[in-house]
Amino acid sequence: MEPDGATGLAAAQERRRERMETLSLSPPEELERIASLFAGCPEPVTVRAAETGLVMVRGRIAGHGAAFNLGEVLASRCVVSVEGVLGFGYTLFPDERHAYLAALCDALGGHRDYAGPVERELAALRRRRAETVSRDEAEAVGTRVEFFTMVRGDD
Amino acid sequence: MEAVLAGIAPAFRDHPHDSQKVFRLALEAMARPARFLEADFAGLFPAPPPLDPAAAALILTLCDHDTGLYLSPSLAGAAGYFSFHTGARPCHPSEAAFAVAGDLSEAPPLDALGWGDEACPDLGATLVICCLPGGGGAVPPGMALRASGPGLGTPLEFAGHGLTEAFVGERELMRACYPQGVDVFLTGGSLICALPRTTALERSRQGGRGRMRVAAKAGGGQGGRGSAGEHRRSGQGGEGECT
Amino acid sequence: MYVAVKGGARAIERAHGLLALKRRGPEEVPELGLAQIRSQLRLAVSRVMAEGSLYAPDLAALAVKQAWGDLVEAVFLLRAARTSFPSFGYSEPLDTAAMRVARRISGTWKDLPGGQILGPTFDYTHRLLDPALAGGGGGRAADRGHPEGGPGAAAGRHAVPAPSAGREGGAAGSAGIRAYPGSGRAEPEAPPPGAVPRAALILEREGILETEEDTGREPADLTQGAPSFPAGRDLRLQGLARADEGFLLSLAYSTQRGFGSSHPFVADLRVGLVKVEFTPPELGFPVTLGEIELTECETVNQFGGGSGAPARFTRGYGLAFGNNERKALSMAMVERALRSELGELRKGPAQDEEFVLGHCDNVEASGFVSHVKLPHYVDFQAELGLLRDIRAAASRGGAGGSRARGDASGGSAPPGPPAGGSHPGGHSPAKEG
Repeated sequence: MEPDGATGLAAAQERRRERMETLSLSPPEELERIASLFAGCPEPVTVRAAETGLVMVRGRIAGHGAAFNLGEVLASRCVVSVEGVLGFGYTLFPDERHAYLAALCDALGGHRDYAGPVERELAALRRRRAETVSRDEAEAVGTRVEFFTMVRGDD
Repeated sequence: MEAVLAGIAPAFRDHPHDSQKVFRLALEAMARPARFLEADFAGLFPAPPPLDPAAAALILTLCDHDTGLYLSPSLAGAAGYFSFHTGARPCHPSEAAFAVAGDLSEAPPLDALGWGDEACPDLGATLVICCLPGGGGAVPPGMALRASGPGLGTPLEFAGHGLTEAFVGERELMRACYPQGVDVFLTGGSLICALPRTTALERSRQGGRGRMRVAAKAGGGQGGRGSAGEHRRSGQGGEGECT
Repeated sequence: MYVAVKGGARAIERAHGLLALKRRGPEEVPELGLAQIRSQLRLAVSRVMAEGSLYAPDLAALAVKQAWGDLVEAVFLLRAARTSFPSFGYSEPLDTAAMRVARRISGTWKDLPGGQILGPTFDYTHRLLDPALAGGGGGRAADRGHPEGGPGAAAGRHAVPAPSAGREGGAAGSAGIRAYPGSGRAEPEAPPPGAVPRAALILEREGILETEEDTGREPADLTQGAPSFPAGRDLRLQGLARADEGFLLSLAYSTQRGFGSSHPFVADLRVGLVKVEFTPPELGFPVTLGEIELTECETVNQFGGGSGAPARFTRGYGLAFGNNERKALSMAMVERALRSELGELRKGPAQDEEFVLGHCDNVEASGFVSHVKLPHYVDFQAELGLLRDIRAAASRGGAGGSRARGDASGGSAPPGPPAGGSHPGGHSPAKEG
């Protein structure tokens, strides 16, 4: 495989990974809105229908050591195809609609006719997420404390 | 990964209902060994899979991430498809819960498959052989066989399409180790037939070709969700004939 | 010996109907909604998810409602629901260092990178019941201006003040010790946004706290088969993560009171959101599924020395779904106590792996403990008959007097009616249902 091909593949994978992350971390209502913007696109074909299942979450001892199985989380996944372009949705919680919408947006995001507009919507979602993260952090940091040790007088 | 992605194709249109129908058929086939059941398996898939629709329907219904799956060489290309839909991992015959063979010549010898153990004989493998007419391959004339055992009130003349003397002999040896053993499905297009490990097969005393009798015909078959795989039980002892 | 009992279908149906009725209660009282339970009884939902070993907040909230508030029953419901789903596989190991912390405290250092963030905590409340919370059913209750630190002043209730540049209230005194112990370095002014590094790194860099090795081995999974003993650390952690909080709490307490030898310090206790990543087989690279709330606790304990290795600190580790501090802390203490590989003297049950792991699951425990209330009529009749036979035989075997009857029961049976008067009875099978 020529270097360009390998880089191209890696870049495409990275773009998909980023799209999927943005779609998973965004509320389903936002994905409904985006999907409705692209209602005129070709009918998506369901390759693997949305389903809910278990993902066993793994932790690490002390956060950096050997892995152990912590417990399961419910997740939903879906695979669709838009004119042969595959889209994958993998989201948390038993929300098959969210997984379907994520798969649809991922497919559109990889389709040359819709990639541009989809990416603009995703950029807006990322900004929204960044605001949420900042807000949460501000809330937490507001409760930051500095304890002062009391020095016992020796007189 | 793009190569894997290229092999992805849709499976059942309506997984919960379609897989339940197929399961019911498989159950019925096992309960009434050596009888041929017919259903519109191809109608369950929006695009027919590259391999025998009846075999594909069985694997999609019966396999999951816990079942090792062995595919014979001519079917190896479908491994990605089954993994994608069921989570079943490809493996060697000895580790397989399910093994699928394009025809009998590709099937692993019975003793290469797992037979379960004394504590858990149910862990024995299930072997699916795509050797019935309608399966796409060349169909040798059916051996005239007689089937007997549980599920067969009286011994039944059975047309062993795609089977060989050697296979019949292997099964006999295996039956001596009951309850451990391997259960077999024969499939082809719209037909399935089960030979559980309890069924005895011997050369029929009647001469001539075996005639294949279709024990039960699934209703409808006009495509669409409701009809494919719908199963009507034929009357006791009554059997439709199909040569 | 188990015997099937038939009958009572109608009574059972009516019992279920009555349960639904009582659970709903008077019609004029508004019905509980899942959104209310999920957010306003958040810690109950967290507990049910942790012990149910299933992170599914809506299902857990439903379980709490359906169980009429009985959390162990809710855990049972969640475990049962879990069996109806297929498995997609295993996640990538979590990166808890990248947690979006809502709360992070340390008992070992006053000042540390990332700081001490109290978050929404009960720690400094005065534990006085707050009548202001008694109203309900509407929107946000009006703030009643509690004095600082008074009842109801949990950080979440007041508008959060805009954060000042890293310092809170009071005189920016110089009396506070600002440097890390022993390092001579000053605290960095403000940590980079979002990064809250593990407090224990400080000790690890000095080599005085054991480091954990990642062998890359596939961890054991007790949902795939019964655990065998001795169990590895991975299996212990999985078992403790789904263990009953009360049981772990008492065991942890016992280790502090002499039934164990560890004197733990909390190096890092944090609550927050962590991303879960999963590699779909068809894609071959990890994707983010979303974020889950976790509580993580790392304790530092003294090592008793010995076996030629230099003395150093050892750690205990706890990790639990949801906001579950007491659980994570207890888990870390018990996890440390179970580390028999450290060769410490066994002083108490918290150090006994089979005792702890064999009895910590409250669904298993509740099942077996509760089963004794189910019909055991035939078994009991058999016992009754046996006892009466023994007594009859004893009274016959003795010198005829009532005194001799005591022998069969070790001499403590009171004199009873003469042997002939007691009924061998009870042999007719009980009429069930």
